[in-house]
Amino acid sequence: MHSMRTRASRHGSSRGGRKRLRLALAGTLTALIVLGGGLASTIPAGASVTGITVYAAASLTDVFPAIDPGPRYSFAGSNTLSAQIQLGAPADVFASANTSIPAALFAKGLVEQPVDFTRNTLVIVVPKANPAGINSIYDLTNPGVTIDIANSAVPVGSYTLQVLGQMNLTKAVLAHVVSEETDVRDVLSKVALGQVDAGFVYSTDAQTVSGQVTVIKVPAWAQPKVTYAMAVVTHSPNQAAAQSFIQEVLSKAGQAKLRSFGFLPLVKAKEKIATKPPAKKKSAKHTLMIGR
Amino acid sequence: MDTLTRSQLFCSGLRGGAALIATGSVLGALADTAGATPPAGALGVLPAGDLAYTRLLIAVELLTIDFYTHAIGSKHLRLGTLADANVALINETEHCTYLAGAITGAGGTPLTAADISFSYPNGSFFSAGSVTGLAVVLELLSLGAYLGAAGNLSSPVLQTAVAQITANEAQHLSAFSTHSGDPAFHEAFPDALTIAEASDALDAYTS
Amino acid sequence: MRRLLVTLAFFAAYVVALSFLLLPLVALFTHVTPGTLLDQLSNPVVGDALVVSAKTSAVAQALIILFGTPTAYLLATRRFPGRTLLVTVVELPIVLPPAAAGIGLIVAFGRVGLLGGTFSALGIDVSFNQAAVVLAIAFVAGPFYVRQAIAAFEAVDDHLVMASRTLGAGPVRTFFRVVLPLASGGLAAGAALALARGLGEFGATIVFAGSLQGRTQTLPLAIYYEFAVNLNVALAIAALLVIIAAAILLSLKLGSMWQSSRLGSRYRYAITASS
Repeated sequence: MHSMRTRASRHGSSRGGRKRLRLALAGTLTALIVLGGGLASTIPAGASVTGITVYAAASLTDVFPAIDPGPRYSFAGSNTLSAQIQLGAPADVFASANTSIPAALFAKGLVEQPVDFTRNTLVIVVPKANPAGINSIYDLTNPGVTIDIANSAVPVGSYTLQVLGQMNLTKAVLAHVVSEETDVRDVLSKVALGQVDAGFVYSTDAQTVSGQVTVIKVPAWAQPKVTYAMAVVTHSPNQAAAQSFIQEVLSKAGQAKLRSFGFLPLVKAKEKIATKPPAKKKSAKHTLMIGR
Repeated sequence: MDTLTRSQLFCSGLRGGAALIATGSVLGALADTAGATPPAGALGVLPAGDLAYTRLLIAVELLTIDFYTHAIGSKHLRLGTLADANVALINETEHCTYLAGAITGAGGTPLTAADISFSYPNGSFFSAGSVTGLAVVLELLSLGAYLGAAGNLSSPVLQTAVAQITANEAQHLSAFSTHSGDPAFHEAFPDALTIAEASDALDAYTS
Repeated sequence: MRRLLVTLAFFAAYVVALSFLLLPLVALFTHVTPGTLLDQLSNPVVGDALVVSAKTSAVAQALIILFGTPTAYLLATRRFPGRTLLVTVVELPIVLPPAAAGIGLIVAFGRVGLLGGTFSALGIDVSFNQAAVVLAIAFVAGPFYVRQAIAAFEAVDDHLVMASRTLGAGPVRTFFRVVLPLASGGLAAGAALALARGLGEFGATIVFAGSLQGRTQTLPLAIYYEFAVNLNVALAIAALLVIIAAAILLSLKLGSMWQSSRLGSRYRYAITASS
């Protein structure tokens, strides 16, 4: 700008120079506004929430701190956390891997109205070496196979029983179960270590140890509806902060973070089956003439 | 079929499948009634293995019901093919109803169309050719699944029913192969799919 | 005045310590009515856990005494280079966190462990069954017995042993007729400690043997699981464990009292540190 002024004054036409100066200033300001606006949209909407305690299902161990590293987290089986809250544990937010546990707490008046925040898929994991040669859920009924599941009070354990019931494999598979764990990450570690031939976990858990386990899909027609719900704890002294944490998880950024970790979006888009190819767009006949 | 039985409710496909059942009764009457009924014997107590297979077959039937509903609704099919698709839809619904009855008889709740949504390769319903092509693929899947079941069930009544259904699926395959311009049949021993293979093949069409 | 204050301070410390130790035990029995607790005892979870705990503790205890006694005797009586190191190694599981012990057992005896291949070749199955529970209990509780046994054997007066030998008794006869009775008090104390520790074993069991009702779910494991399912059952099992622990302690005390009264008349001159 300094050089422009001198250039203008050198050329002697001060009015033309001032006009160019104003144009340049306007241009720079516009650029700065656009850039600044762009930057603002990449900064998360709220600052990190601190000073609250979040009790969350074990499968959220990696994604919740990635959404917000501020709160103190306690991760365990959702039913264990629920029992602790019922005994007065100092939680501000409770996030469960199903909707029934928060609903039960809401019925008891221990939490506020729960809200669904994400979905997940149940999968089977086998050790990378796959000693029992398991390639489908039906192989779990082969003789000699050892299986690890979570116990039925834990969400992932009840989802497992739902799948087995839906496929009429309950008795055949449960006969091979050698241990029942209290949270999903214990199941995962036993499989990753090679102690058992197979285990039922969430697809998001399998992603965290992808080099040590192989994932085997549970047939989609037997998949249970795995929906996670969270709620503010009634006796929490930090209601506002707890609410803003929930809003953070429900926000676009929070939901995007969940998807990046393998969780499913809340609403499944129902595809409409097309019966004809999409109409071809009319080709642009006129080109925009600029300058010249 | 004045009133829908409980099993039929489980098997009514999307978009007015119930209406189709009602109208289909007319078309059904036109079809040959000999051998049109499932085995009369009671199924009795089915072992868990049979029930597990039955559940998979119900899922396969729901796929074909859903497919035929969309095939008829796409309005691309010509008269002869359309008639076959209508009868095929009635057949599949009857198969599904029978199998659903086996599950409810054993005290379980069978899968319904509301529990599952199917997706098809892009462009499957853009023309008559693509529809009949997909019909051949799905009937092959269905035939393979039923052939695999035929050799692995223990209940004789269920085995007979499955054998009848297998024959019917083969008829569908033959008809739609012809509509596709392919020969009606050529394999002396069509391939059977194991339960795991059938489940994987079905997974390709479930979202 | 100062003496009164000191006495009061001691008394206060005494009351605090006692209540701190007693309150959890008392609360276990008073949180719900005794009727509720007794009802829970008919729950199959409790029965199954009791059977598993009883079986595995009994077998583990037998193994501990069978292998621990000669080990302790050797370490107590022989002097050889590296003895101190061996004693430390034997006592290490006492200070090792149980979960670490569990992982150690996995990588030693588990399917993917050092001896995993050998075991499966020999047809030995220590995977998620009661044998695995026994191994876990023996690993964490054994050192308690061995340490006490070493002290007991060391306290046996060497002169008595030598006297027995000079009177013509062989080493085996001396061991069974002289050493063992003299050390019995300490051995019994060690065995009781090992039994109590074994009954309460949790970390190594849940990591190495897993937990399945009726097969590997011991009483402590059942408490952990039932806590998140039905608190009353957890309370009942905890109360049961308190009673069992009290019974073990009581029988130990009574046993040593009976023994000292029995021995008092005959071995008045052989006072050992263990009785």
